[in-house]
Order: sequence, then C-alpha cells, then structure tokens
Amino acid sequence: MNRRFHLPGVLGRWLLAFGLSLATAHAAMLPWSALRGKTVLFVTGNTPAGAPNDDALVRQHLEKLGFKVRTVDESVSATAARGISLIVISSTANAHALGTKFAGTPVPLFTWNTFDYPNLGMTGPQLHRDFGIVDPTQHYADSFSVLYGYGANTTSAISKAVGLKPQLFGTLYLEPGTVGWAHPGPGGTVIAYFDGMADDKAAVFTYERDASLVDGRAAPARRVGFYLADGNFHLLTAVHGPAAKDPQLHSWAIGLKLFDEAIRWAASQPAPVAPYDPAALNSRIARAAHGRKVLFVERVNAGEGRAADEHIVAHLRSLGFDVAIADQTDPPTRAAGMDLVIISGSCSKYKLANKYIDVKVPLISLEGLMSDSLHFSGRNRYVDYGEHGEEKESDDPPDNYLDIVGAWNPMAAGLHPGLVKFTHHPGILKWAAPLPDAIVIATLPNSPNERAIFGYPKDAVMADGFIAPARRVLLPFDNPSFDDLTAQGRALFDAVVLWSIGGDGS
Amino acid sequence: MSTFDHNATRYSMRRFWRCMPWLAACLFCGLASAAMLPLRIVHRIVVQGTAPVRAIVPGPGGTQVYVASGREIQVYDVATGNLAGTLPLPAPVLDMTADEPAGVGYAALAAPARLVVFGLRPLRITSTIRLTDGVPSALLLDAARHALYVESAAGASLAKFDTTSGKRVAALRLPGALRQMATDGRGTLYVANMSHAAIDAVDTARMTRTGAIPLDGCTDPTGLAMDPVGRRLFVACRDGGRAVIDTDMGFAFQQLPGNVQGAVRTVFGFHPFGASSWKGGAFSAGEAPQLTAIRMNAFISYSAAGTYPLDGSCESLALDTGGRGLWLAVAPTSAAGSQAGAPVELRLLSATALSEAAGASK
Repeated sequence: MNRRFHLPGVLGRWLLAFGLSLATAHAAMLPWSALRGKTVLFVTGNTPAGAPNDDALVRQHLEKLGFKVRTVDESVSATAARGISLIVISSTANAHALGTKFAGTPVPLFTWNTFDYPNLGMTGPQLHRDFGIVDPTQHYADSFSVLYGYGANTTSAISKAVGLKPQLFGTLYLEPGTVGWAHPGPGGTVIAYFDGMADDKAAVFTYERDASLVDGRAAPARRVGFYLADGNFHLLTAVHGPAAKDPQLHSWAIGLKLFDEAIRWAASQPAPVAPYDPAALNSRIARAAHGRKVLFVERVNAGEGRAADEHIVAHLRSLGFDVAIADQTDPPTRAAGMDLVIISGSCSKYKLANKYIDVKVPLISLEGLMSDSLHFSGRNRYVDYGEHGEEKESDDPPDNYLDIVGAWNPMAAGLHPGLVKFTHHPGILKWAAPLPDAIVIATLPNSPNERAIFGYPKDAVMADGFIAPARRVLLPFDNPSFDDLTAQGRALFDAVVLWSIGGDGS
Repeated sequence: MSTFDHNATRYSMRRFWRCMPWLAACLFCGLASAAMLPLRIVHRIVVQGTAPVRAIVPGPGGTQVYVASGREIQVYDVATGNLAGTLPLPAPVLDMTADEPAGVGYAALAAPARLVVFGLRPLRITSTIRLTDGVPSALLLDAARHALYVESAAGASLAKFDTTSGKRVAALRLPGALRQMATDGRGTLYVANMSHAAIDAVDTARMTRTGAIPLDGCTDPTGLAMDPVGRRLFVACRDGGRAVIDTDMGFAFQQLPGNVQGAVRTVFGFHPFGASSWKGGAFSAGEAPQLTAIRMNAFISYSAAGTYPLDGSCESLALDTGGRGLWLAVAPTSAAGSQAGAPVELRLLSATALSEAAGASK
C-alpha cells in the first residue's frame, strides 16, 4: 500500500517542484501581448469644473496598452470586480465613499488614490505620518522636491523592466507637482522614493499577493501604489525624438514607463507559492544540494554554539551538501570553488573582520550583528541592526516568534502570513533594517522595522552603495538556536538555504 | 473672469456690431466661450491682384512689408499702404523668406520648381536655382548657419542649401504629409507631419531623421513655431488641439484646448506687441476665420490666451520682430461663402489691453 501511494506522491512533488520552478522563472511579468483584451475596472470620481482631471487620458492610455476599460465611479459595488483582470483606482474617486470595498477583492489593484491606501491596508491610517499629499498650494517647496525620484529597488520585476537604477530620475515634468506618498509596511516593496524629503517617502510601492499588509491581512492579489494626482498623468516623464537617443535622458524620464511596467506587473499572475510541507521542501533541497559545496565558517572548537554548529553541518551534509569547515581566522580564499558560504553565529564579528563581504557566491549570515560589516544595513548599532533578548545589549525581552510578512516568497517556506513559532523557547533573536532591494520574509513580532529574515538578490543595492555580488541572506539565530528550532523554524532555515543557491528555480 | 469684464469691454462692444456675422458663425460653432484676444488693427493694406498671399516678411524698422503673391514679390509702404515696388517672378511663388540684415530674400516657385534668390534693396533677382526634389511647399531660413531648407510635401523631401554658395548640400527623404517647419538654431529642424500625428526631428548637420515627437490629443499637426531660447515648440493641429513641446526631452508637456479647427500656420515671438506686453506668444491662423494665441507666462507656463475673429481665412502671418505687432493676410469671406476674386487684405494687429486680458486668462 505504501509503495503504491508513495510513487504518485513523489511524482506529484516532483511535478509541483518543476511547476514552481517554471512558474518562478516565468510568471513575474506577462508580455504585453498576453494582457491584450483583458478588462480593467477603472474607478474614478468627479472633480470640480475646471479642476485638473486626467482620467480620460488614463483611460485612453490603458486602451492603447491593449486593455478593455470599464469606467465606473466610487459607488460601484465590489462585485463589479468579478471577471476583471485589474482594478485601477484614480485619485478622483472619493476614498471615503470607496471605503474598504476592494480591500479583500482577490483582483490585482493599481491605485493613485492616496487617501484610499489605508482602506486597502497598504499603509497605516494616519495622514501625514503613514501617507500624505504634497501640492504646490500647501507645500510649495516640496512640490519641486517631488519632481525627483530615487530608484530604491533595482531588482524587482518592475525595476528590471524599467531599468531602474539607484539614482535620481524625473517623476513628473518640470512644474510644481501634486503627488501622493506612503510609508508601506514591511510586507511591501518600495520601488522608488521621493528624493529630498525626510523619512524616505515612497512614491511607488507594491505588495505581492500574500504579502502582509499593514493592517495584518495578507494581500489578496497584487497591489500597487503610485504617486499620481488627479490631473498630472500627462506630466509623467517620457522622452522622444532626438533626446531619446541620450542614454542619460532615457534613464531620467521614466515616469510613464514606471507607470506602464507597474500596471503590467499588477496585471500579471504571481508565481504560485508551494504550500508549507517540510517533507516536500526537504526533497527539493536534497535535489538541489547534490554536488554543491558549502563553506561553513565558524569559531572552531567554540564553547557556546559548538554543538549547534556541528548539528548545522550535519544537517547540511544529510541534505547532500559537500560541507567544508573554515575557522573565522582562515583567509576568505577558503570560499574559492564553493557554492555557498554560511557564517555561523559562533563567529566573532571582531575577529571575522571584513572577510567574505565580496565573495561572489551566495552568503547566509546567522549573526545579525554583522549586518553592518556585511552591508546588510546601516552602521548604527541598535538603530540599523540589533537583537532582542540579549541581557546586556537589548531592552527587549527574549522571543521565539517571528512575524511572516513575505509569505509570497519561497524563503517563507510556504508558511502563512503572521506569527510563527520559530524556536521552542524564547531566546535571542537578531534583526536588521535592510535597504528596499531586500526581500523581507519576517520581522520580529510587534517590531515591523526590525527585519529578522531577509534576502538580497544578486545585484541588489545594499548598504553603503555596495552591490550584492550574489545572494545575501540574514537568519536571526543566536549561537545555539539551531537545536531549538521548531519544525517551522527548520523549514525556514531550509527554505533560505534553497533560495540562496537558487535551487527553487528563482 | 473673461476679458469682457475688463478694460476691453468698451472696445469689444464697439466691435460687436461690426463683427456680428462672424461672431454669429462662432456661436454656431460653439466657439464663443473662448476668451477674445483684445487686438486692434493698426494698419490695413489691400494687396494688389487676386492671387493668394503665400508669405509676409516685415521690413526693417516696420516701414515696409514684403508680400509674396501670384507671380511677384510686392513691397508696401506700411504708413500709406501704397505699393512701393514689385519684383516679377517667372512662376507662381509658393513661399518666401528673407535674411533682413543681409538684404537677401528667397522665393520658392512652382512649375518648374526653382528657388529665386533676390536682393531686398534694390529689389532684384540675383540668381535662380533649379530644385530637383519636387515642387517646394515651404522654406525655412537659418541665417546664422547659412542654411536654407526647402520642403517639398509633394516630393516628400527636405533639401538643405548653403546660402553662401547657393549649392544644395544635402537632402532627406521624409515621407508623410509635411507641413510647417521650425528650427532650434542648434542643429535640429522640426517638421509637422500630419501623416503620423508627430513632429519629425531632423539632424541638420547630417540631414538625417533622428526621431519623432508624438502628440497625444493633437491630431494632424500643421502649424509649428519655435522658441529658441526656452527650446519650446508650439504645435497647432488641424483638429484645433494645441501643444507645447520641451524639445530638450521631446516631451509635449502642455495640451491646450482647441478652439479653431483647420490647417494653420504658427509664429512665435517674444514681446510680440512691445516690451510691456506678454513675455512671449505663439499665434496660429489658417483656414478658419479665427486667430488663436498661446500666451507664454513663464518658460514652464503657457495658457490658451483666446481667439480673435477674422472675416475670412488667413493666408499668411508673420510677427514684426520689432514688437510692432502681427501681420495677417486675410482673404475676406462673405456669409455666403468665399468671394472669388476679392482682394486680400494685409493687417497689422496690435494689442489694446493685452497685459490685463492675459492676466485674466492665466
């Protein structure tokens, strides 16, 4: 009996894994041709006579992109979204009238209705703190600042499609602008900031399906917040004619391209997420591990953490990795020929110095306090990185839970958004505040700005302008924590290892 | 607040009865809501003959004006309106331009296609150049670069002549329905191309097309004028739409409502009615009995300044570079239609209370 059911089970898992690999590789952005004929529900409202209103131009543009557009006003019922491929909400719609009607709608949504962000869970509820508007009447000086955006994320599908770089770009044509800004939650991805404004105000941001929203719910479908206002769609920057041949101007005037690619991303289907299944995950990582070499860097013969180090190495070897051990004092040339470097929490940050920073293979750090030296975060200890539960180094109590905010990513091991028991017993947990190019998987509970698990894709912009030579990941272990991991914690460890080596097909 | 609420009221009311026929036409067309440009006619000159006026070139100091019409260049004394001289041409003239300081004029002729180079003072032909790229449709002079561009809509071509040698130095095939040209004086020539609702850009050094600037909401561009300081292109389209383009980026950043439909020509000038008037203005007129204007408030701010009714179509227009006003060649039309054989009238328009009116339309 067992054998009869075992084969289909293995085959099913293999097919799922194969499907996931394909999906991850291909599902980020559909080609424009695949979106042709899809229906957009365009939610608009009225503006006073003579007031700027570009809704007609937006509709015309969406149609030019190939969409069928159905324009409705804010009184539309949420059921109108049935069979729709994308909801687009203009700032002309009354956010109070809209309320939360589309908050739970499992249809992708693209909005520049800034006041609707809280209704959708895309930001917190407080005006001026969580979201806001800049306009030339109230904020004349800032209305010029917002003409300049900064490429915060360079590795997302949208960023790559646009060719976004970590540099300034023109958001709107050179007139004092009206825009909306936001502070999305840790589950969101900031694509671009407004330059020259305090608090890194996001101009363009996204939530992948199943990413945690600020109100604690998971995004039912893709969500995009964009910086437009009622009447300035026509001012989204673009370059034509002879100027289009100037590469600098071409990468400067990207406002319209950013709009288009964000629309395309929103309307594309996200990659399916493999459900939480430790056995299936184990099979996938075992397949990926075959023939791969891992350098495990530890404090050899360490006191605290020695057993955990041994067990991590044993676990990796049990998966099929070829593991070599390096002492923290060994030269970084030990990484030559390796496929992955893992830095143990037993290493001394001081003794490890700046080794392995620029190693051209993926690297996982099990020590959050090295976040500055590894360019994971800024250098301000306890502000840019820190730890909970360390008696002499933290005011925060020990903890053993993490808050999953990036359930959409394979690093989350298929775990549901929200709290997950990471270790059996409360202990030390590390955190850091990475840059927007990082994919955030988990934060510490009730501390959304303290990110416990995150990964930088290759070529991501890290702290100090450092460009990731290969994937980089933080796992928030303390030295002995590996042995205390729950099943979910172990799955997170395995999923991170798998993502780091690209074994999930991503 | 419309211009009727200001100092222009008395003037406007006085004109009201005189303008009744075409004001009625405007109302019929739903155009009366547009603000009226507070202009007045300061000179009227009846053009000799019945041929259309193809071009106007204001003379130095505003004392004379050159007119290309039929088979001749005519020179009028502005103060008296009297014909001060004529230059017979071997064929009908299609366009004319002049390098005033150099005292040289250029006239494009049809059948056979040729370019006539003439002296302005005295008025005489100095040379004739055969055109090999089709019947010419427009001329554009870039005096600083010693270049004359000859457009042929029929031949879908653009030829460049060296004004020093008189030689044709290069030509470019430019398919489409070509209309007015403009140059930035920095090596780029722009051509309104009705066939693809865009402005074609041409590198004048290589005479190659370097791209096109698309126009959204402005169909069939015909009129084109350049502000070489702000590097703005003013576009007037046949559907009435108007656009202002930042040529540094090839970006149409301002769309203005279209009040006047039909093919037009466009001119731009700083302080078009003297130092105390607008900072700049782009004026368009053509088939419809209306003149329209875009007012330049600042280099990043332009507004539709209104319209001015005409009693016929405008065959040509030109700005006096001394700020004395705008020259129009108006072919009067009766309420019943075109008056065949009616003489064309040259009119110099100046401002009445333009600065106040402009403030109201901002």
